[in-house]
Amino acid sequence: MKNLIYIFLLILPGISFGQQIAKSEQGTFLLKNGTLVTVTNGTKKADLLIKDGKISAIGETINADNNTSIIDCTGKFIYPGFIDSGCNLGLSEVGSVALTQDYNELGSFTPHMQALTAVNPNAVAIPVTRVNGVTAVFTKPSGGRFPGTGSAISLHGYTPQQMYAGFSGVIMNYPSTGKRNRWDRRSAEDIKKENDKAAKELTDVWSKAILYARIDSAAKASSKSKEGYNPGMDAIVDVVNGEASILIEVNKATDIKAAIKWATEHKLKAIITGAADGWRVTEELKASGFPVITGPVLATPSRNSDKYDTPYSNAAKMQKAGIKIAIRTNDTENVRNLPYHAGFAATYGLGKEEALKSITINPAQIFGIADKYGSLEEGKMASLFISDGDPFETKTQITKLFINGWNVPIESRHTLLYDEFLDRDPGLESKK
Amino acid sequence: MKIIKLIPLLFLPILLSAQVEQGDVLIKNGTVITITDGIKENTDVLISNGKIKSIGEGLAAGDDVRTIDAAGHYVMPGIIDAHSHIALDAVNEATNVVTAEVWQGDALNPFDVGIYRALAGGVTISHAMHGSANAIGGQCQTIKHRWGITDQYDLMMDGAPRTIKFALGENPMRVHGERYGLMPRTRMGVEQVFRKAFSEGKAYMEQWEKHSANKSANAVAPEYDIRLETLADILKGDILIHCHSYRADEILMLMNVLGDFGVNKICFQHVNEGFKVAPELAEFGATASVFADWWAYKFEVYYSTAYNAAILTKNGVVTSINSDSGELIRHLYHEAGKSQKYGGLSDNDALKLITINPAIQLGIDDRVGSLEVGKDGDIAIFKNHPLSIYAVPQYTIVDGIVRFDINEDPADVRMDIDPEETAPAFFEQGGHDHDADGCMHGVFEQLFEKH
Amino acid sequence: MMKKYLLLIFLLAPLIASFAQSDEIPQITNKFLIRNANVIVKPGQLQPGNSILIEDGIIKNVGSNIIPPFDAQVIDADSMYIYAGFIAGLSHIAVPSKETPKDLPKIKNPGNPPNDRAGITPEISLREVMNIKDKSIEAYRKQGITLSHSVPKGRMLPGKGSLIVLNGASVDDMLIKEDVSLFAKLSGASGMYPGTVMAVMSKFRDLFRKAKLAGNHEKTYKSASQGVKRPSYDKSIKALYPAVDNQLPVFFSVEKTRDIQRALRLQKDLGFKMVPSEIKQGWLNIDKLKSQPALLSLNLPKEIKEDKKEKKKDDESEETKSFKAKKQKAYDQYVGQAKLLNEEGISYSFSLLNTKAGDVHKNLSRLVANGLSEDVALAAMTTNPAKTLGIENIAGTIEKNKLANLIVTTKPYFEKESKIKYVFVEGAKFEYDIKEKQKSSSDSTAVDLSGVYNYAVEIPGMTQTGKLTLTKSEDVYTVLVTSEQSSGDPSTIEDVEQDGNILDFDFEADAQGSTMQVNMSLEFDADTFEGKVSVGEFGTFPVTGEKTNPKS
Repeated sequence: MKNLIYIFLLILPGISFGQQIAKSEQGTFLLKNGTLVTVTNGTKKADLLIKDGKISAIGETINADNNTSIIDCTGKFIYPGFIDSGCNLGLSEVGSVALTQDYNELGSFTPHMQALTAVNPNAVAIPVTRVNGVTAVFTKPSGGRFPGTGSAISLHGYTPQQMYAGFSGVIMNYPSTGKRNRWDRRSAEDIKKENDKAAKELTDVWSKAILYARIDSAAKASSKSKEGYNPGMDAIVDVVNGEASILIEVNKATDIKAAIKWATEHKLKAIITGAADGWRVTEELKASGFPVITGPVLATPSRNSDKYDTPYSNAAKMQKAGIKIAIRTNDTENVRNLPYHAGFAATYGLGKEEALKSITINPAQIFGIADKYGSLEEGKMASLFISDGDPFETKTQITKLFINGWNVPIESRHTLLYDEFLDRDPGLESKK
Repeated sequence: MKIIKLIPLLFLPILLSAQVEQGDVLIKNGTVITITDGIKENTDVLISNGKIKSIGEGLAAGDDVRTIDAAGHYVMPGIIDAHSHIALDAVNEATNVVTAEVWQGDALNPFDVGIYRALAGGVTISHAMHGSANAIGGQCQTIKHRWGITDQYDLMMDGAPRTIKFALGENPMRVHGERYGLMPRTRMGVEQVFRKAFSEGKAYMEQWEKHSANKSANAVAPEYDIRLETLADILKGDILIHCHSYRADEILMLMNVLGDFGVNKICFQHVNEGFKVAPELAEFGATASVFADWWAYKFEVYYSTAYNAAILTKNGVVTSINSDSGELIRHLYHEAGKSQKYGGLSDNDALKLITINPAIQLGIDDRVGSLEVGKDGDIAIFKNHPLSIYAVPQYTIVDGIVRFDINEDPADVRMDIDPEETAPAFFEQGGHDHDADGCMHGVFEQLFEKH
Repeated sequence: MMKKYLLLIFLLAPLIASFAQSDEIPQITNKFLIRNANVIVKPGQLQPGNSILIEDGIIKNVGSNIIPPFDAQVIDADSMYIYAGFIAGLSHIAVPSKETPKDLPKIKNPGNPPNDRAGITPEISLREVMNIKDKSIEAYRKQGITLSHSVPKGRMLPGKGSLIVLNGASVDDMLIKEDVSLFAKLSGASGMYPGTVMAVMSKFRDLFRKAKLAGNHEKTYKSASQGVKRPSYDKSIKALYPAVDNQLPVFFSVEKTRDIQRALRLQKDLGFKMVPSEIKQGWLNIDKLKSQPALLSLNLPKEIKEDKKEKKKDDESEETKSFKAKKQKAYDQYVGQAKLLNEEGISYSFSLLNTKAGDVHKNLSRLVANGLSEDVALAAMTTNPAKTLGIENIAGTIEKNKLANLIVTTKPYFEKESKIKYVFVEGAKFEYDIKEKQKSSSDSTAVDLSGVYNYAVEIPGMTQTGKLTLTKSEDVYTVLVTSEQSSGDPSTIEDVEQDGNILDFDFEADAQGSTMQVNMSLEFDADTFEGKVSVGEFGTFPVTGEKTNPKS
């Protein structure tokens, strides 16, 4: 096994560039005569000007100067780029090869693990994802109770810093009273005991964190330096103070209630994630005021006794109860299916408009980056795409893609292999 | 050829298959997607005694026949999944690199709610496959989703040809080579496993042929061996091969081996690099059953493309899209739709990927896979076009019996409840595993037990 | 100190045992007259004021005016009830769990293990594995089981069953009919072929067909004087001949409906004589069970008890209500199966493969409480198994010239207060003390064993260690077992039986579709314990433990 991995590592640099994706270009682009689905200001026929990385103008008729490339969008649709509010993109290359996976550090309390550190800008899955209209994702660590800090990134750039989209959040896995998977043989009693233990540990960690935060602000106030090296605690000081977001992963109804109670008591700026059972506890979620990032929508129900469409309809039920929701894939290599997750939610009660919001403006607002992303508005970053139809439909093609104003080619390993092999040359070896 | 007669006479059961319930349904005024004969607007389909009796306008049936108003709905053949592991109590007999004799028909579970969930996605037939731990795994079973029946053997689709699972590449190498230290540890070894097994099967077949020609009173039959008998049946072409495969080289290898032993019926499963050798597959007459877009979960699928189905189809390879997953099987119509995004297949070509093409691969295309008079009454009815993201399955009919009706969809459909259960279990992982295909189900549980 | 003390006890143990033995006073006479009792000669036939004369292990006479021989012991059984001794249609009575040898060689090729490692030992006869000192004999006898169809323990083909009486000075003494059945299960081997249920099915087909041909080969070899290849000898295959030739019935343990279907499928494919046994979920296969005798399991699901804390039913969600209703329905089906199958005309007996001795009376009573008639329940423990096992002439009813296998109870058997006073096994009398039931707190509070213990299980080639936490609340123990070697999750066990210093508990572990029974029996001495762990068919291993914080 190990040998295999080492061999793989040796050949990795060589193979990553087997197919070369064309360079993106930056400049001034005028998108003429398209139908703009702005998300925040309705749908309208208009021109859109991209300049200096931003949407510099939207108007009925915008005139171009000589340096502007004009893109005719007649009959086409322009959408803000989609945002996946929870995935591991960039942190994993090959699923079964452990040494290519960077999202799961050892330890239970490691909030100082920074996903942004390990994002590989050249991950093969990144172009594969963005050509489907997903221009930004929140990529996150997973594993222990506090596995680390995730970051929103744009899917274009040569360094993590170039990709960073302005939001980071601490991840927490709230103690679960559910089974891990179908092969989990623990009895109900075993689970309860483990859960009680986990709850105790959490209380302990958090009381220490509160103490640490108090000492930290006292130290800052008096310009004294506090003792010791405690990067984990440093990473959650702002969370404890209610200044920074904490994303609490919790799925089962009773656990969601417990998590809401916990986060409310500690006055945290919480975002509930997962929420597979959210539809069962809409009242509590609504009352908490916490936004919810839910998904995957394309998932099997959490219980054998649940209705077959529970995961499809969960988002709609929460949204109708007045909860702000965003939809995520929680995937790695197939984050590209984000529009289809939203599409299924749309079909099973959410409706097209809200489904579209759940992967554009809603996540941008939840992450506090709506001034830059999430809709087609003047002044926002030019992360958008042009399509020949409804992007939730599998028939629809995306013809142009802009990320932060860069005109990104519609190319990925998948398209390049198609181009190379559709009419393979040489074809059949001639019979001798 | 004597062997064919002899062995069944001696041993094989008289397959007195229980008569499984068949029904009558009249579907009125739907948009009928026949697959093989175009689309017919405002058309009725009458199923009588489990078979399609007529397709046309203004059909009538007796008052006691259930009538479904399909006005504004799409009526298509029941979806067929050529690769699944639902409704199974065991998937991998991972203890030996060749286990041709084991049969999934013996491990069916009619109580798996996965069957109901597949029906709720319009799927009426699935191919319950052995896993991919072994180069020659067990025999699979084509099942009909007769949710509600309680005898596991009644799930079987009577008359469906025998099929068997083969597997190439990482899975058998990992299980046998790495864990047990037994060949194969490489793709070279995998080839030799097939050559050895087929040679032994051939020798067995010849022994029996010789024996049945021996008229002497003192003639003694060769020692019976159920594994070799199965291998002989493969060589005779009595069992269709479905081979788990990924890389182009191993696909070519198996076609070479099969060619050497005169076997030509093969469907490559997953076959993520099939697009690289599409002309060779077409020339051999091999078919392909692929994922719509799965890739990168292991090294041998790192060089994949979601355009695989389109490239194969355009090169003349009969291609289907399968699930290999209790999750994907619920929306194969959507998976098929992805072939339009990735390669622009026509509506009918895309729907063929989940109807007539998998039927061909399972050898049941004379019975199912299209809406034609005389075929089985297996039908899926959709609100909105099945390839649209807005499609919602409304009714799923198997043998003329409505097994899924969205208007009568109770919450807890489980049929076999543990009387000592405290509450229905909640599972944190609702999605699919990202580091493996469904084919390795159960392997590690089995391996980690003590020897 | 502690260790020395323990050691002393061990050294003394054999001595104490032999003292106890020599104190036993032999039976004075083998003639008994049980006088003036209510005799249930067979289910549904009660004869009040009758007497039974026993001589030489045989019922000499049944009647109202029997004059006691001078040398008979007369037992006045006024107001008592006498039933025919119970017959276990299928059980492991007298069969100890296998001790796995410490030096088993590692299997190099898991695809082709030797038959005995794969669980294929049809050649084993009960006499090779039974132990006349096994504690199960006394335990089940105390419950009125006098005769058992006992089979070896194991996996797919553990061996051949024999009929034994539950008393005797030697194996030969106990055996009344040898090799009457072949015992079969759908349990796979662990980590080797056949591992899964589908491979077990294939292996059955392979073995039976091999045996058929091998048998033919042998016949040809014997009939021809020369020129025929000498048949190869395989003791397992050879042991299958009688089953393949329909001479020996195959008792197939099939609890769940899918296993019943599978066994029936094998029967259809291979054509052997079968008795489906240990059936728990037979109501889904009624039509197919009609054609042959069947054995139902007497092991029933735990009774559904309303949680006291959840009394506030009003705010119960629809979902909870519907779940509870479904569960209740499932429970009713399990405990109602015996009634239903009887109504459907299926004649059955009970098998006790997984029924603890202490549950026999309780579970028979639960079946009756769920609508089974008392007569049918009794028939399933007496006349029906006698018929299925072909011993109607000697057992099953209280009739002249049959074996003197009797149960004498203080009240009618199914009455709650009923206690067994005597059990006769082939005329040997066993008398039981009948104490009024003591308050539940008396025995169990005597010793409080709760605490955290480190344990060590000696498994060949390794020592398994971990922690065992005993918690006691309201006289009920809960055990939590964790292991240091496996990363698996701790198991919690309720249902712990305490008998003085001994704790006994079972739990189930799942493995590839089959369930493994684990039993722990621990004897405590102050802050330490020792005992045995039986893990399914893997065998029994010694375990020792010590408290982490001794009181002293």
